[in-house]
Amino acid sequence: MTAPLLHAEQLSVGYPGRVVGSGLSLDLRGGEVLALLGPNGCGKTTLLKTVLGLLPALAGSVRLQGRALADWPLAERARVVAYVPQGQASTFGFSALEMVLMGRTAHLGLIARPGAKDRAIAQQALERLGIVHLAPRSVHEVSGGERQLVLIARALAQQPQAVLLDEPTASLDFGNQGLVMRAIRTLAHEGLAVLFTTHDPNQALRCADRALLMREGRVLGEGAVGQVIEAEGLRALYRAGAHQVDDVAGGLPVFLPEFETDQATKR
Amino acid sequence: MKGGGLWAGAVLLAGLLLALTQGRIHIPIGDLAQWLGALLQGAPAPNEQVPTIVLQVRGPRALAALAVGAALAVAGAAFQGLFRNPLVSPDILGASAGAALGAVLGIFFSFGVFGIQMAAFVGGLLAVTLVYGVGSTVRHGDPVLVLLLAGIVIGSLLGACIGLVKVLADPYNQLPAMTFWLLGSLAAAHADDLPSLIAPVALGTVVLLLLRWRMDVMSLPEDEARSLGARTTGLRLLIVAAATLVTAASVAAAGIVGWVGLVVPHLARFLVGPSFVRLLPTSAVLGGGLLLLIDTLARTLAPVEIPLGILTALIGSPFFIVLLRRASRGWT
Amino acid sequence: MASKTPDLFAPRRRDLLIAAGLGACLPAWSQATRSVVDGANRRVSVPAQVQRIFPAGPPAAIWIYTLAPDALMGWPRANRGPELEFLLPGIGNRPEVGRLTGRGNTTNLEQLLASKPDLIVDAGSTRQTFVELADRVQAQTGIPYALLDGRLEATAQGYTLLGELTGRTERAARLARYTADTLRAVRERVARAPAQPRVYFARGPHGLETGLGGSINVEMFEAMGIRHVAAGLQGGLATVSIEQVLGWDPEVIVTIDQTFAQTVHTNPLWRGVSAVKNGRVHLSPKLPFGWIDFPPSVNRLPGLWWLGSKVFPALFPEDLGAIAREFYQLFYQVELTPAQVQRVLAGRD
Repeated sequence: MTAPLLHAEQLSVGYPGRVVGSGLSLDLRGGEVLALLGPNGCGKTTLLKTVLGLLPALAGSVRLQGRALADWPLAERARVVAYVPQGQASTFGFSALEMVLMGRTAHLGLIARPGAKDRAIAQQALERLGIVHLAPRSVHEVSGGERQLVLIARALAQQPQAVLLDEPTASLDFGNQGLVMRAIRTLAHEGLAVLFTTHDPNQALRCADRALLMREGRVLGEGAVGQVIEAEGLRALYRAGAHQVDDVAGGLPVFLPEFETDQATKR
Repeated sequence: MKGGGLWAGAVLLAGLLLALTQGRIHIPIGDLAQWLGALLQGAPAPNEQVPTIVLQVRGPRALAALAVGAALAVAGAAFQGLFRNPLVSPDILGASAGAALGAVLGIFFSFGVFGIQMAAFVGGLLAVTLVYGVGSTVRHGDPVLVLLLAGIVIGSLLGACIGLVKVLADPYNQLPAMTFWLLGSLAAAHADDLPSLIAPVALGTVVLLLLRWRMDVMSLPEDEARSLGARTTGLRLLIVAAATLVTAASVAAAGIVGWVGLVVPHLARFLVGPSFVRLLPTSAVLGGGLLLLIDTLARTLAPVEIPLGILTALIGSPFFIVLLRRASRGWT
Repeated sequence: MASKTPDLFAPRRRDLLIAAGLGACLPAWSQATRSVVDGANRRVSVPAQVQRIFPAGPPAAIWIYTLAPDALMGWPRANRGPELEFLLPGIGNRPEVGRLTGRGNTTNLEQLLASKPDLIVDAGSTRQTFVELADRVQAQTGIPYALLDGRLEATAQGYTLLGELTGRTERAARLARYTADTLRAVRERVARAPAQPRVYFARGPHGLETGLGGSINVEMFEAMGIRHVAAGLQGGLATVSIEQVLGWDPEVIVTIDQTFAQTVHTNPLWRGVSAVKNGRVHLSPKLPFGWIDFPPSVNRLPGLWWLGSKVFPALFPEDLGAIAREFYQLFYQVELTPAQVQRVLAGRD
């Protein structure tokens, strides 16, 4: 097994005076998709930001390509790791191309502006995600899913080795969710290391290779998705019943939240 | 908008033309042409008043208006990006309030003309330094929001100090001088004052123009900008410093001229879009041209000077309401 | 007979006591109040003896100082060193008491009460606002409050009134006579002038502030009949552009600002103005109080002669130094040395 690109060891994450999670360890390798799965408020976003270097770790260490994260200058780090946040609307209505071009920041000097080469890379990123037609459109005028794709394209323009996404399908409709998940799988196919947070076990199951289950700041389980994502584990994770549906095309089970009513038997 | 930048240029040219030809003293175009002709031939001017008016009175005033308008517009655009808030003006960090306090103290202690200008300039710089210092001591929270709040608080404090000085001032002599200064005016624009205005404005504007692509990145949320590799803390300091430099210099020269820094970037955004690569130069040109037009109005509408700050407010507010109605789609 | 304890309430004793009691009250009653009609047609009751007068603003302070300096309780703004030289020692340096009215009140009412003035005097506008203010303060504090009409024309009557209020009628008559004579003489001469030069009153370090028609700042000009270039516009203070001044092209410029007077001759913008070309830019004297413009009080009287001599040199041949000496001796009660006269006339601090 190759050395992990990103390695976090016994992390305590949180804010000064408030520990959100502790004892957290993870590995991220190229070509692999890791899902951070857990209920709302379990600390997965905090963990993600700490691993990105956006939040200082309260304890433990994060190593990127073997080097401590704190030793990486910001621009150098951005050339290796890219962040795709939840796609809230930005203040100004930049065009999709302008937004993707911002991904070139780490490759340009302080007063430099993107040149032909940068534009070509941005164009390529849009093509890889099939959204070239969005290039001149303002990010305020596209759908939520398309906006998320633009942000992923921006991450690609950084030419990173790893892409970390925070709740990439939050508040996206059914169709858009498919778009984004497909894009994530594509990235892994091309050799990038991918990490995303989610609270939906089905997403983790279908999209990721490995999963880290978190609850209230602690790891409940870690391993290949087929193994850790099962009814019992989900029950422990969500403290709620999970109804497993097998015999689904594709072979993977689907988990639905279980709710007991007297009417359930009527169907 | 196609060719939006050209519109800004047109406004500038119109402003320049009007500024040089209109005024209390009527100079027919013929006389102007005659003088230019004589100038090219190296002959003395036929009507001596023409070069005096054009070179000594209207010329420096036009240059001052251009510099102040461009400075305020560029600073406004920069701050709107930095604070991710299109409702922000260059006054937000207290530069205007600090400069005003400096000037008012200068008048109170009977400094000379140059002394008052210097006091205003230094006051503006000190105020923002204070705001920045206070903001940096707060470690948690969004650094931009913290700066904004510190700016509002310190601005308010400085306003109270200005009020105090006004109460203590001699009401027959000093108080009217303070009032006129606070309302803003370019009536006293003089060729000798131009270097101390244009040098800082040029410096600050050049810095901002060089950084204008990075401003696009800085307008993203803090986490995003940093993850893209932008050193937000250092960049923020640099942008604030440059924008404050031009704002303090403008206020020191012309008093408090509001609305230009708020409205012009919006107009420019309407013409060329939100990316600072085009927005910043367009704002500068448009701001200079518009303030030139307004200043020409200020000195020609009535025999007495209408304070510049009053005119910009009277013109700027309805403009802004129109912009608000158009901009419901998010400041594109 | 055993000595009886005096019964205080025995009938005869009682009558004597009552008589004694009334007698004790008598002085208080006989400190009778006089009723005077002030400059705003208000009836004011003042005590017979007025020893302590509180000035409501700078013009009033100067009025009181010239008529009854010992009664002046303080100054709205403390006088500075150069000014004290031209005021009576012991009076010029009386404490700062703030302004009770006008632009910016700073007097502490409790302090006012604690200092127990016999009378408050205010000189200036007699419009309804100020009448109401006077009535209000009077009701609040119980101290009689007299308003004087502060207009230049009303100066002589003002002195008469103030004399009545303070009981210094003789001195008041002298000052009133001087005032009336001065105004009359000055007006007569200006009326005889064959031509009126264009006069511009420059304020502020740039010289671009001026008083419009009807403003208190140019009251003197209008009282004398001198034509001010900005008189066509009604208003208060305003800023004008240098272009406007060039358009007016004044032949005489009068200013109160030292900086402007110093720099105007080297300023290329002003070179084209007739007044500058002919060296007719004049800086007005201002020690201890300005001779023109402010404070708008009796300190402007010598300014009438001064202004006349600058605008119509042929019609006003008098020696300004002599006029200054006379006025300062009569009104400010100080003797000017020749050196002091020069300093005053030079107009600098």
